[in-house]
Amino acid sequence: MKGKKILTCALAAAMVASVGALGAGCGKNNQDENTVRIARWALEWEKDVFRGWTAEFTKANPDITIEWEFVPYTAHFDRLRTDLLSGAAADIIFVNNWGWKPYSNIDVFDDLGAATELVSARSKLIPSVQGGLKQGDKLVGLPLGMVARVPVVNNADFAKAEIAVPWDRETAFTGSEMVELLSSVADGAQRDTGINITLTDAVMLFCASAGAPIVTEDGKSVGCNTLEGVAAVQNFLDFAKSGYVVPLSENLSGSYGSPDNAILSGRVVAAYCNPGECKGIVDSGYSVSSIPSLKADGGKDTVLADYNSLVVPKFSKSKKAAYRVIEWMLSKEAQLAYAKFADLSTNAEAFDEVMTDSENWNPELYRAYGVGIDNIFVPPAMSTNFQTYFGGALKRLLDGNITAEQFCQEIKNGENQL
Amino acid sequence: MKGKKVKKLNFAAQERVGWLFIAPWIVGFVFLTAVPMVISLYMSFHDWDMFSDPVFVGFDNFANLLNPTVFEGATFYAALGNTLLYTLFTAVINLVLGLGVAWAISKPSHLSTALRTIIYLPCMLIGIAFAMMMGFIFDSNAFSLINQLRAACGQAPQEWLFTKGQGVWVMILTSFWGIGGAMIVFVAGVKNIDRSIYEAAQIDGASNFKVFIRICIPCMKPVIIYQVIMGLIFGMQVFDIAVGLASVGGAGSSLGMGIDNSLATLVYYLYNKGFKDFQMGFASAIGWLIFLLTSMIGAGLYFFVRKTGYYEVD
Amino acid sequence: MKVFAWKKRKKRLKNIQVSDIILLSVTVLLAVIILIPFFQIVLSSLKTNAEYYVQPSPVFSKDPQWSRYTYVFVDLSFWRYMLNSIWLAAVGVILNVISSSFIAYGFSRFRFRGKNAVFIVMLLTMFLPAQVCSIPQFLMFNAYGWVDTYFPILVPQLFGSAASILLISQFMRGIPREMDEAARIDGANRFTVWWKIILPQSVAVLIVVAISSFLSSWKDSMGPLIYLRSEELYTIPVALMYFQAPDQNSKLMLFTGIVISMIPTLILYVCLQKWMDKGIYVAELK
Repeated sequence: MKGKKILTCALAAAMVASVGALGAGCGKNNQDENTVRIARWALEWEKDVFRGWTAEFTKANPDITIEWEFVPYTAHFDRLRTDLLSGAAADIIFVNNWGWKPYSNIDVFDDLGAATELVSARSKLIPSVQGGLKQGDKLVGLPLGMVARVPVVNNADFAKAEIAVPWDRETAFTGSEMVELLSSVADGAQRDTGINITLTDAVMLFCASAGAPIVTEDGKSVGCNTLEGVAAVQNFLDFAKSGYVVPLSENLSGSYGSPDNAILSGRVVAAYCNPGECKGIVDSGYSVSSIPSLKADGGKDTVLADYNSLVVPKFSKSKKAAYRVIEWMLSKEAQLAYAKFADLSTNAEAFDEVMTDSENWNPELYRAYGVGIDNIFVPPAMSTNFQTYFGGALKRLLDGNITAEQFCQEIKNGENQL
Repeated sequence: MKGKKVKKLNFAAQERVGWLFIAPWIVGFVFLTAVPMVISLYMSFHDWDMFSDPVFVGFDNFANLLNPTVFEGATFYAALGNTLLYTLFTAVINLVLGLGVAWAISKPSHLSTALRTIIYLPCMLIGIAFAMMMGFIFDSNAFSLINQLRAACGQAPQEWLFTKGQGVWVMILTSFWGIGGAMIVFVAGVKNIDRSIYEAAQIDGASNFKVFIRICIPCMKPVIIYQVIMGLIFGMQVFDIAVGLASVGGAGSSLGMGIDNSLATLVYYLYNKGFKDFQMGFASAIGWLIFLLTSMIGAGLYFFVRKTGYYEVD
Repeated sequence: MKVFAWKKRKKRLKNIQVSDIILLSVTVLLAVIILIPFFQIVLSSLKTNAEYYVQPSPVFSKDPQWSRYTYVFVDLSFWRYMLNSIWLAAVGVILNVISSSFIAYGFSRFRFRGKNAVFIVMLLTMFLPAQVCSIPQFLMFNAYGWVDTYFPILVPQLFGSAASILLISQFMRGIPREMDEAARIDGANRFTVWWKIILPQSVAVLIVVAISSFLSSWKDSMGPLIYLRSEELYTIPVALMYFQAPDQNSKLMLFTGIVISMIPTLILYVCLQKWMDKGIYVAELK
């Protein structure tokens, strides 16, 4: 008797709950086509900065509403997966190469190459950047900003060591030249070591500059298993073992700080930063400049970069409006404003201005980012299997357990894991 | 006569109502567990990236996982080894230390309440918080506690987290901070033992140690067995601490699971494959292998316990 | 009276043995070791960037950054995330405790065919890692339109959790059946027996289940991450991820967030201490 009562109560509750659930679900999908939602990762204190950036666009285009959706960095790509599955994804989504890999084969993105509204904006990008994210013939992602890193040094250290800061040097440093420079400054300024550079980036840079990249840009094959590649790896090894480069174990968070904060630790001469990251150092009261990055002996000046690109899902309801927003984002004014707080510009005019305009920008800080801009190498994202291969081989190389040649061979063996 | 009839009726009625009480769990099981389990079993025989259609591959996923010469298999066995080691050692640590601490603080006093709070503290931490705090002690750089101790003894700092074969020992050592969970359960068990038994033993002149071994442990056998089984099951599913330690240096500071699979565990491997590489079919295969392994361990324990004849599954 | 009490005390003192002392000192040592990282994180969260990254880092900061705490708590709306977490955990606990004890009553007090089989299936569900089920569950909840609500996190609690059910049912077996029988002879039905007799008897184990259920809800990062999209709904584990960016400026903010997130659980635990002792005392009396 009481049991029946319970049963009926439970059934009633379940029905109410499901009705409520359906009701809750219905209200979600009535977004109008002039609202553009943008999804990006951001730290808590960056959110308002981004909102301020797009406020310019909203002023000029009051018919379009922009809504930002911010996600924690580590969660952005996890969220993207479920968003694309559920159809709730934003209209414009930021992606970078690091997280793009699993999405690179999924046919859920709009072909931005076919959008006539964007043709002129695309033509104004830096020539070597005009590629973007491709899926077969489709152009699905347009690069909005470039994340490139070069060594950034503390001007005071150079002054103390009485060496001029080579911020206006036209070519990249070879490994031995860099070690020579850093060692003399380190000794003069009494720092423990020379540079905290992400060692995975360093080995990629050496190999790419020698024309034998560890992984080719299309992400399909290993290119370092050649004579040039082995020589480049050897250059890297000499550089890394010179005693003036922070070892792998301390590389990311150790007593030398992280690559972009290393100067703050007071133990290194150079930190390996993106311009946006320099802001933190400048805000702490340091006067900094950047110097060109590295290349293998006899290699070409190369910029190792990652793009922050914009993609649009196929099922977005606000595509037209989104295209206008993207067009604005790639324009010179927006790019200049963006470069003030985030990545380097991909718009050619904006990029030149950042490099050369000494009134609004600091050439000492920005110029070195342009060295090798004609030869941009974007390391493709690695699958977790290949990451394991690469990480293990790199560690063994740095520990001295294998030679450069064996390293290249090991990486080559992992090729089918790409 | 009459009494017997009433009893019979009661028994039949008893049966039906029992199902009613269990019904909520069954409903939840069907929707939240059974259906996903069937889907994942189906997917484990396919290649599926969640967006396109699944591609049937038969037993390939399983074959690759179990074949040590293939990369997937080598990773699987590395993860399996780490997970088994972790499970075994943490079960022992939790049992021995949890029981010992529970016994030590069994006499109520201010000190024991304070100790109980302190030792339980790490169990209240969120996964990333716990990993960050373990990073203070075990990190690879020169100023983590462990390395400072090594420096004091004149040895060079070592890369604990990123050397193959050492990462798992760091994970095992972190379980020292996690004994609070076992301790709480054992404390409840110890308090449930009748005082009179103690007094009888003390009158007989038994030492406290003997009381512990001969009285406390046998009385607590069901609780101990429960805790050991739970520990083994959840040990096999270790994930949070592995991910946490891998990202102690910042997101993306490890390549794969630690470097060279130093921090690989089975569920971490599943997570990487399913949620980072989007190979859901393969990840499902890993999930089912974990299920089979844990079931084997659980079944083995069950028969072992039943042989010793104490645990009742009614 | 007085003499009797003094005699008892003398007896207790006599019973402190060497093994006791050793065990206690080991425990105290363990407690100290456990406390060390807590001190480190609290102290580190107060250091300036420059102090933290210089090694050897000073133990106590010369310029404690208390403002970081107000910044994280107020400006970054951590208070809202904390309230969300507390609310979710509290509701989850209530649902879980009630439904788990309801179900455990079914397992422990009835004998019917198939019960053992269902019990074993329930045990088996604990062997499967949760990540395997998460995507199919997501697809299902998405079809209901429950994404970006708290439903996917709370509704599963309605159905009990296997570990809680296991623990409670084992405990309930220990409750003598005479009380059941007495009540039923007096005309109470099964439900009333559960509600009025068994439940009050199980307070001790229910408290243990409540604590562990609260903590697992508090720590849960996967559920909120997958289902919650609006920032107002975020819980603390998701909010902490905001501080985990590749750039290291945020590491000290992360420490601050961690310390803040420890406070509610600490307060709760200290308050619950009295309940726990009471509950265990009740069990002991029985």
